Amino acid sequence: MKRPKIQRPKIKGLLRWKYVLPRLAIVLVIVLAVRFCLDGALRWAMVAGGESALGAKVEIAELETKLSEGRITLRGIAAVNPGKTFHNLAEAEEANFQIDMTALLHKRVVVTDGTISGLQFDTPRETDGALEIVEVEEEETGPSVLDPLKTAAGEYGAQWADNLSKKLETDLESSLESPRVAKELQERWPAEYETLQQRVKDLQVRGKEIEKSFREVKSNPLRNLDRLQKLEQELQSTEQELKSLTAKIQSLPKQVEDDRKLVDAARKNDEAFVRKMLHLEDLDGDQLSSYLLAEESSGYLSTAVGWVKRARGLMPEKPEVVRSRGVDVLFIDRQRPKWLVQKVNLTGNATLGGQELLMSGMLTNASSHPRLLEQPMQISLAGQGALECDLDVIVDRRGEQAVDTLTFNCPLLAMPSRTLGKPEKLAVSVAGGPAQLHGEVLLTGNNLSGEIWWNQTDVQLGASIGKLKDENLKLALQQSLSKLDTLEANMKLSGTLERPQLKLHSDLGPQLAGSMKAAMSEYLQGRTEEVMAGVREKVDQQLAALTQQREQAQQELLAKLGENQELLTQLASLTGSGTGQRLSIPQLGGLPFGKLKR
Amino acid sequence: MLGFLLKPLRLLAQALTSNDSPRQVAWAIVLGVIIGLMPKGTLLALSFGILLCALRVNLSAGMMAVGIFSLIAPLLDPLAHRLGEMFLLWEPLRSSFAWLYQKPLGPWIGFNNTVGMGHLLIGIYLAYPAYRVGWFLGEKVQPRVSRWLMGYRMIRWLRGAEIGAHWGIS
Repeated sequence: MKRPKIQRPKIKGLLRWKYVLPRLAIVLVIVLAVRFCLDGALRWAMVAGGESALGAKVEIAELETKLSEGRITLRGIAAVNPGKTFHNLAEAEEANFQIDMTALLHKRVVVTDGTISGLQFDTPRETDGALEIVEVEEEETGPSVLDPLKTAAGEYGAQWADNLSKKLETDLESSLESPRVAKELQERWPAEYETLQQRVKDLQVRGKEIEKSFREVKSNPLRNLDRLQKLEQELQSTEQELKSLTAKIQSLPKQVEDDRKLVDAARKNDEAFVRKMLHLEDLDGDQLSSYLLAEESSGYLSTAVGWVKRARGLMPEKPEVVRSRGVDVLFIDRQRPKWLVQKVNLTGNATLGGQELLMSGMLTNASSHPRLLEQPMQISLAGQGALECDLDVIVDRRGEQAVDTLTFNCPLLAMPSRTLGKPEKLAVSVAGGPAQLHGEVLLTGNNLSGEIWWNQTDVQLGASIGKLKDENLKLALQQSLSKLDTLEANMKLSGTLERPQLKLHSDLGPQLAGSMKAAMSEYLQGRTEEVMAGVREKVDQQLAALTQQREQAQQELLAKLGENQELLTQLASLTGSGTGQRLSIPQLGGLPFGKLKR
Repeated sequence: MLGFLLKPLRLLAQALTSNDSPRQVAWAIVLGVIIGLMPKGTLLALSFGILLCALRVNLSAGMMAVGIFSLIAPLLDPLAHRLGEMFLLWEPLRSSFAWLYQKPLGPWIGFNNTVGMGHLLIGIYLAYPAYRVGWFLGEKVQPRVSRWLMGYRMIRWLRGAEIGAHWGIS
């Protein structure tokens, strides 16, 4: 069976108008939509892109494009600080950008010129700028890498002040030897005197007993012949005791001399002890500089490093290698970045050293591919008005290693009054005044180097040392510090961006150490002399009193001994003990007993 | 969902049972081959796509060719890359390419990609064979297959479903 031939309709034309016309209409609608909705779409894209990159809210109040002129104007721009969501990282009143439309048709975004006005950094905001959807991981605010430096410096200064306080607060007098020796001597004398007096009394009693015995022997000499011999022996022993006691009492002035020598030796020891105790340890000027300026210096360093980090953040990382089919052959002499900001003028306000300043500057050569540019990215800012200062940040990514340079110069930075160090330990108050601040920070790869120099002239200083309330010492310190009129500090940076090292050199420490040492030495010398003079006077008085007491006692005891001696001499002459003759019975009968009666 | 799953079958059924001329089928396949081979997302691929849709050619056959050659294209990438590279770096044409590249929208065209250019060349090379195959399919195979297929309710349903899909009821 033969199948019928298929009848095909005749082709009515080349184009399928039913398809083409609706598509043309759609294209027209798209063109009109782009014309009238571009602003909103672009604003949404910028906000979404910015928030994605920043991790916090980005706000653009208004966006206006003029495609024919290639101009984009943004108003009310704010980028929230992801770390502090109630603060804006930066905000600007208005930004105008001139876009190179030819470059845009070549798949590149090039801002040939631009202006960002009303620029401000770190401004507070009323609403929370955290993204509701994206959870921002809180940065671990662990201890700063500069904390060990600050702690070491702080410990040094605090220890020195503590030692000084301890020295000055010690009760030196109670530790001295000479007052103790004098006191011991004085306390020992009454007992000695008592002993001597007792011996004199005993001698008197023994003399009287011997006299009494003689009388009894005399009444019956023959019967008491044995007693007579005993009496003779007792008399001899009493005479010996008398001689010994007399010698002892007569030697009292010599003992005074010996005691004085003892006290003098103790006094010499005391002088050495006091000097040692009040000796001021050497105060290392550099250590003192670190102690006083570590806090302030680390603040400058942190700010400088923060600026460099912030500038680094502006730079894109190495462009991602997009995997695509094939290779794009570029028919141009040199590759060009996908986006490039050739020049943007910046104007705004900033706060430096507590002072508001007008700021103007320029951002140049920011791009997606810095290696393709001849010049590095640069941000130059200059403060004008009340405070003049310059800031230059060069972020160079053209070579193999990232090289970032930060240079700032403030010839007249108004410094507020402040206290360096710890008021409860050792502190220096610095009156406000103009200062000069200059710094150069270089970051090659991750290695940090540079120098920050700071100088304040016509400065007035005041020092306080913790708990010391001695007005004389304060006055001496104040007088020493009044000679200092310039403060200068030089900070040499090294280490890495994550672990910066700071070597501080300042004339403040050595000058202050010198002044303080001079004042303290003078004060301590005076204190030493004062302590020693007081002790010397007291000991001298004690010795004088002791000497006087001994002299009186000598006279008194010698007088009493004189009576005993007379009695014993008469007895001895009778007994013949003095001549070597023994006492005989006839002699006893002829004894003049009436003479022996008192 | 069902429409998405049945789409290839519909296209096949439509391509085989439509009343288009062999020439319309042939041109559709030529364009489909070129579009299928080329990397999408360039002005060149977009232009060929518009041509396919705007010209009175067998759209179903063209779309089918696009699908088939999109699957084959990655296998030919190494060859396309070498071919494209040789062509793009051919000295006599370099100044012309540079001129074209530096024109507005030049980088958007996508001709400077080695694989893109290679596939374009392969597509152009395959254009005549594809045309002949398409012609043959349109002239000899399609009428017979069409008549045979129209005898099946499934095919009629697929064609109807396609009509329904156009009206948005599938």
